[in-house]
Amino acid sequence: MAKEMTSATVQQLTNPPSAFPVNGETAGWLGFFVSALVGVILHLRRKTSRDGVEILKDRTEGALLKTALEERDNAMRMANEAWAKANSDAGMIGQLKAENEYLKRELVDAREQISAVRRGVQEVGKRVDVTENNLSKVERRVGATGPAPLGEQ
Amino acid sequence: MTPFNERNCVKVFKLIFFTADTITVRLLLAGASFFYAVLLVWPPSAGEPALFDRPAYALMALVPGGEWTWAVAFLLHWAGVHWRALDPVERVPWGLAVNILGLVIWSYSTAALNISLGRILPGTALEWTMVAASAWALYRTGLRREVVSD
Repeated sequence: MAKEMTSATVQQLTNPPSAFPVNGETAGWLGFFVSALVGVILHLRRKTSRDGVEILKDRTEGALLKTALEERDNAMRMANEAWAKANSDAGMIGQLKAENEYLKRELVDAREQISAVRRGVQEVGKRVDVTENNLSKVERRVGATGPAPLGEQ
Repeated sequence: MTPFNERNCVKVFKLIFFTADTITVRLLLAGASFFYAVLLVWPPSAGEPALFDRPAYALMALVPGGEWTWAVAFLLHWAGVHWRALDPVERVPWGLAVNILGLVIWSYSTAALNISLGRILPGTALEWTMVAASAWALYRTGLRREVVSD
């Protein structure tokens, strides 16, 4: 008898009555809570996924913006370099123009000098002619009055 | 050196929660599902009551089909997890389906067991951990931080 009591007690301890009614309604509520749990997790997951997409989008846009800014900086640098080159070329052109003008003047001066020299040569030539004429006259005069040339004596 | 304080601990746990790979946990869950399925349909010894005749499984027994429905569900979970782990192609909807199935069967069976027995038993701590793990695996599905496809 004592043995049976002990067994019954053990049976009661191992299988105590549940605090909840074990029936279809409880099973339904349990199903509802499990579905709600799945829903909440899916909602959180979707939010995280969307946040991830937003972060990815922001990063992509940031990278694109960075690339665009770099390209703009490169273009500006190239434009500045082109302007600097143009300015340098313009300076060189100006210098060459000035040298050209200077050389033109030099040429004009040289031509004038050559003309002056030519004029001088012509002047000298005229004087030479005059002198030769004078000498001829003198020779003729000397020949008419003076001694005969040595070969003729 | 990073100081050991509350802020850094939270940071480390967040890092683990959001970036640690879940495949190990998923495979452990699948292994548990497999054994659960096998033990559900394991025939009782002579004179022993059927599993779902025991009070602990009273709520689970209310699902139509009894042991076999549960066994098929657990086996599907086991097969699904292995399929998703071995398939090189990413199929997020299927990954979600498998992990939803995992969470549903583990949370329902664990809660049903505890409700039927009248309290949360310390012996089911590991099962509750499995429920949390399946919830984590579901949350992380398709976020593209896994070493294998989802």
